[in-house]
Order: sequence, then structure tokens, then C-alpha cells
Amino acid sequence: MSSAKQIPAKEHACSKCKKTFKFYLASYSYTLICPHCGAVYENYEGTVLPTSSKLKNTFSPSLPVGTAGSIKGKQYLIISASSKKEKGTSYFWEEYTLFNPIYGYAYLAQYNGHWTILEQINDAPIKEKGKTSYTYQGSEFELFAKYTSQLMHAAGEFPFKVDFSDHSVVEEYVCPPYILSCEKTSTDFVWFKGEYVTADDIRTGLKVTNLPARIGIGAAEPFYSSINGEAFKKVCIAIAVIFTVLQLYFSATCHDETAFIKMYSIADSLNNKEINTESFDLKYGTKNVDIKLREVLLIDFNKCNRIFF
Amino acid sequence: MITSKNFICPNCGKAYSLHLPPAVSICCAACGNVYTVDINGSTIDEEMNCKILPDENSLIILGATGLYNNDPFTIIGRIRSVNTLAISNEWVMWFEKSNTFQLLIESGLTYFVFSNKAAKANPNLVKNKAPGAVVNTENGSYAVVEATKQIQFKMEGEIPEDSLNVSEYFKVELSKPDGTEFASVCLYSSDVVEISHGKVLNIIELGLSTIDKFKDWK
Repeated sequence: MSSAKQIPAKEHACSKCKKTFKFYLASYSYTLICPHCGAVYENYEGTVLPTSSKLKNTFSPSLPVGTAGSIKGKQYLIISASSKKEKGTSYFWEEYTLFNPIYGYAYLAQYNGHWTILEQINDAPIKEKGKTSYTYQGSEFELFAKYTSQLMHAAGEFPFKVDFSDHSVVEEYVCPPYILSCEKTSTDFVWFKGEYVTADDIRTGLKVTNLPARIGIGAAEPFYSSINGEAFKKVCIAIAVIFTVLQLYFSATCHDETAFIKMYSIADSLNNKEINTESFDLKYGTKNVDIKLREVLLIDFNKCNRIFF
Repeated sequence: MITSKNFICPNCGKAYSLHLPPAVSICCAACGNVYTVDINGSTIDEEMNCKILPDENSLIILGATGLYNNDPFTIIGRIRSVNTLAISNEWVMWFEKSNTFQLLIESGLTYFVFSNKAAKANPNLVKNKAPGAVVNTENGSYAVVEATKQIQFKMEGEIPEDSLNVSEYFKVELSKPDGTEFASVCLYSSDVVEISHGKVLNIIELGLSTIDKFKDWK
């Protein structure tokens, strides 16, 4: 766990498992879930109150709650983790709530080793009639997936009510490396804008190891190449310069001379027998040679007369 | 005429100098009891206690100072509303020069300033409007982004007496498609509906006195 950029935490001793856990949002946190045993607490009264709920299972998120570090240049503290699945399938993913005292909340999602950081946006992207894509901030986001998500596990503190019975209808639109996600429940309708984050950025930014293995291609994963854009540009320019120089050299050193000329008569055009010319010398040494063959068709009208007249 | 008025907590005896004119509600920082000082100077016990966890990681706390439209202000009060989905806060910005106040709304650590006092609205304005539906108001079209029931209120410091609300009501939050303007529709009963309009505020622009505490998080 990273010790960077820590902020004051409160500790709560779980009344069910007796272990302590930290929380950071004080009167801003709505629900607390003991990461050790899954006991659920409500904090909306302004003080931590136990509920009768306790999650059946706990889970071990890839990133521990309380980890601090930077993602995409901003400092964050992970205050909660949850596991979700697509209803009717066995697709699971993780979601983390990130906190920055100045910039507020952000969310980090992990699926098959692919990471996306998301922030809630206040505006609603515009969908043009008859299109399945959204235009947002000048970019077109194509529909990638539409599904219903179910909350399976949770741990840590949440600035909102954690409701395991509520299912969200999620629509995702991608324009790599960005993603727009719309979550709709019976009571709210929220848009998020996300950006793909490489596992290396997560590893170095949060100083963590043992991240889930990357499988396949992420929804918002851009095309990556081992050649970076600047290097590729330089190679293209170098090739163009070399070809131009060679072309100029050959143009400057070429000579116009007739090395060999002779007329051959082929009586029968269907006769494919090879013709060997006499040998000839090239005055300027080994060079590329432009060979011009000129075909002259001579018709024997006497024979034609016999056929047509 | 707005004048300061001294207030002594009837429960624990702690003394306060009020910023807001009566009628004003005050929560005693020492004991958490809430009282209202009415326009005659009489003290009414609201029979509620508002002890809440101290917020060490919040940019906005009682006593924080800053600048809004180049006008210096001090945070003197807070209304903490809990709804069926989340928690929101209304912070009272008190402007010493003009001896006036304005509410700074926080929801999900996004901040808004509401430009007007709540106005009466058509009771059918948001009727049967699910999240995502479009609502047309005098200020243009908005999308319904949230529908909640306000279930609990707490306060800190001092707040205008008419902002102290201890009864439950329904609230529908609206957003313009470009995200620049917001509206809150409060449904107190089937025929008492109010709407207020607000704009998003970048909290960093307020130059809050507390921001240095979090300089490592910039």
C-alpha cells in the first residue's frame, strides 16, 4: 500500500468482527462496509451506526482500499471497492471510488486487466436522430455495449447509498482512449466520461504489484505500437530523403546511347522459338539498361489475295 | 436593518455572536442543540440535536474564508440534507461588507450557486417524469437527472430560519444538456412545488482559506 499523500482518517472498530477499518469522508460518507467481514454501517445520521445487514462474502479487490497515488496526473485515495457483474452473464469487473479533497470523486474500473478512470459529467451528450452514436466535445462515440449491472460485493466507504437490490441499465460509447458511460436506475440518470489507463500507469502511479493479467483488448483501449509517433515520422522522412537522393544520382549519371540495334524477321508469329542477338558492349560500365523492342508487322498481300479474292 | 445579536446556548451556556439577522437557527457547536432566534429575539428550542462527525478532509468547513465575485465571505452555517441516494450540503456564505448571505450547494463534491430564491412552480412540472426525461421550464429545457426523497436534515453554525426544514419531501434535480445550469424542483405536497435555478461553480476559484491544507492534492 502506498503511503503517499495520506490524509487524516477515522478508525472504526467493527461491532461484528472486532477488527478496525479506516474511513476518510466523515459526514460525507453514506454507507460504510467493513472490508474484513462485510458488516454494513450507515453514516448518514452523521455518526456511524450499525445495520442488521452483513454481506455473505467478502472479496479481495486488486487494489486495497486506502491505497493512495496518482492517476493521469491527479492524486487520489481509494476509499471503496466493489465487484459488479453483467446480469445474466458471468462477466465480472471491479469498480473503485477515488477521492481527492480538491477535485472530488472519480471512479476506476477494471475488467480483464484493462483499466478506465471515469468522472461524472454534468452535461448530457447529444444523440443525433437515427444514430447509435453520441457526439461529445467534438468526437463521435460509438455504441459499444448495453447491459444491466448488478452489484455483487463492496468494501470501504461510499458517498452514496449502497443498494444491492438496485440494478443499473448501462450504455457505453467509445472513442478510444475515451469512453462515455450512461447509468440509469429508477431514481437517477448519470453520465460519466472515462479514459483508458494502462496497467503500467496503475502500477507506477499507485505503487502496486500483482495486477490482474491483461486479456484481450479493452473497450476504450487505443492502438498501441512499439514505434512511437515521433520516431515513425523521422523514419518516414529519412526514407523519403534517401529515395530522393538516389533518384537524383541516377538521373544525373544516366547516358542516352544506342548500344545495339538490329532488325529480326519472324515469318510465323506462332513460332515461339527464342532469338539470340549478338553480344554488345556498354560504354559506361554496369548500368541499368532500358531495352526498347519495336514490332513491325509486314503483311504479304500476295498471300492475302489468294485467300480473300 | 441587519444587526449582530448575541446568543447564549440555553443548554450549555456557550456564547455566540450571530451574523445573520433574526429569524435565525443556530446549532450550538458545544452541545449540538438547535435553537431558533425569532424576529422578536425570543429563543425557541427546536428539540433536535445535530452532532455530526467533524470533517477534517473537507475544503469547506465553518469559519473558512474566500472570495466570491471579488467579495470576501466567511462560511457561517451548513444544512446537511440526506436523501434516499446520497448526502448534499448547503453552506451559508456570509458577506461581511454587505451583511448578506448566499447558499453554496454541494452534491457529490460538485458545487453550485443558486441565483435566486425558490419560486413557485407548476405542480405538474415533473409529474411522471422519469430520470432521463425532458422537462420544459420558463428557463428552457432540462433533463431529469435525479429523483429522491429528502429524509433527514442536520445543521451546523447558523442558517436562515426559513432554511431549517425537518420534514420529508421529494426533490427532482434537473440539468440543462450543456451542463451549465441546474434546477431543483422541491415537491413539499401535491400542490406546493418550488423551483430554484443554479450554476456550477469551480470550487478552486473561491480561493478558500483551507486549500493550503491540501496543497499536495492539487
